[in-house]
Order: sequence, then C-alpha cells, then structure tokens
Amino acid sequence: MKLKNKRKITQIAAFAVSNLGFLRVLKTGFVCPFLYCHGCPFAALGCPIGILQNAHTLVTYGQVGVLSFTIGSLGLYGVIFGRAFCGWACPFGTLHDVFSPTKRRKEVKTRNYWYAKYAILFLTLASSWFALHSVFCHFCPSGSLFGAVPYRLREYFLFNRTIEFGQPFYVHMFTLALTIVLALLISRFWCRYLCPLGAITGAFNKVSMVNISLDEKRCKKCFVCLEACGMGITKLKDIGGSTDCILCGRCVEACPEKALSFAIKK
Amino acid sequence: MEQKFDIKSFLLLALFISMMALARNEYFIIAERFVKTICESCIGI
Repeated sequence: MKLKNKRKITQIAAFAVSNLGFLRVLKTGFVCPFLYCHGCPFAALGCPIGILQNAHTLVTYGQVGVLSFTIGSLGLYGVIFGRAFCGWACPFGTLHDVFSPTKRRKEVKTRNYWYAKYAILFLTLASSWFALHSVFCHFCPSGSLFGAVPYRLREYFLFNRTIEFGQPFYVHMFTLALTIVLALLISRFWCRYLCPLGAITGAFNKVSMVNISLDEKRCKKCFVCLEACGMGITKLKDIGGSTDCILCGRCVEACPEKALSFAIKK
Repeated sequence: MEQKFDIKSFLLLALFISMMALARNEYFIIAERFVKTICESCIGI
C-alpha cells in the first residue's frame, strides 16, 4: 500500500478516536498528541495547549501534577514520534491536506518563518498567564471547527436548543475562514507558521526515535523530495530534523532513487 | 531500517515517563473535568 493511503487511513482513524467521547465513559481527557479541541462535545482527549494555558491556575491550586503529566506526555510523544502526529493523525492537518495547493492551483511561495510558531507558543502561554484565561482558545481555528460548530449542531439537532451567535463565535468563524483561505494558497499554512503544538513536538525532531534517514550514496541531488514537501523544507539536511518536518513521508514516496526511508533509532 | 543506539532519546524517554507516572492519579481527576465541562472560550460563547 502507498504511504499516501496509509496516511489517509491513520488520519481517519485518529479523527474517529478523537471523537469517541460521545460515549461518556471514553471521555478520558488523556493528553491528545495533536491539536484537537476538548470543547468538542464528542472529544475523548484533552487538548495539551488548552491544559497548558491553565498552568497558572493549576500551580496556584497546587495541582502541579497535571502540568507534569501533560509535559511528560508531550515529551513522550515527541521523543518517540517527533512531529509525526502532525502528518499522520492531526484532523486539522488533514483538513490542510484537503485544501492544500495542487499542480493546477499553484502554491504561493513564501519565506520560511519557522520561528513564528514559537512566537505564537510564547504569546499563548504568556497571555494565559497574565489574563488568567485561555486567550488562545478564543482564536484557535481548530477550536472553531471541532468545538464551536459541533457544539451548536449538537445543541440544535439533539437537544432542540439554539445557542446565541455572539461576537466570540464570529471571531472563531473569522479565524477559521482566514486559515482555510491561507491553506488554499500556502500548503499546510497553519502547521508551518502558527501551530503552537507543532512548535513543541517539532523541537523533538532532532532526538525522535522515528525519523527519516537519507542514504547519501544513493542521493543524486535531484531535489524531487524538496519539491514534494508540503511544509516548504528547502534543504536536504532539514528532512526529518527540522522543526518543520512533520514526517509525513511525501519525500520518501517522491524519491526516485529510494534514498530516503523511515528509520527507527534504537 | 537504520538501527542506531541513542542514549539521549532513552534518557529523555525515561524522564518523561517518570513525569507521567508520578502525576497520573492527579491528572486524570482534573483532566476529566476539562473534557466533561463546557469550555466557553473554545466554543465561542
């Protein structure tokens, strides 16, 4: 089976698992390895960015263990898989794959602002610390799609209740629409420049056990791999190691010399 | 498949697993609340 199809299967499976919370007993709140809103009525897992934003409250009430578990889980995912969850599981990343530019609809070329996601991560944590509120969640486009919309649909169709469409909802819809428009122009726009969770897991790419290795003897420097990359990686040495690489394997599939392969460090 | 022993990864893995193990009971009591209550910022109320 092609890697592309395997990825589709894992992405659908991850979306299904994320929504197992429709059975209340499966609303475990376990740390989600990708950006998925626990405001979704069916969410089974807890959004790590959502939990980290409550750091101040948790520390104030002496619940440091919650932070420890969240950081430990993110570290565990990162050390084993690096940023692979972004490429193989994240439902919001999957949406970006659906909307990504095609051969007909050419991508807009941009510079590599890899540090932007670290700025967003810093702002997310700093704003929540100072405002004592999860500020990022008000703007999160993933929260818009997987939290705000399903919540209103559930209320309307299951409970026959309507929830007001106030300003915060419209802010959500605006950020979602803007992200989708930018995703149409720039492949994986959110993942490349803005995702704060991608910033955390991407930092583990250099030490992750699952990674992509390049056989330099086979490589003919044709750079087909870089052309196939949806994350805009421009150097061979950055494949697998850079904070941008989501280990999706597009490069592995594209390489005509089979010089790239998934590797497991023991 | 490349097979290379990396001590750094294993040390980090041990650190993160111990962080999780020490806090698992406290986490699940609180986290359940996170996902079972309505997060107003997420859903835009």
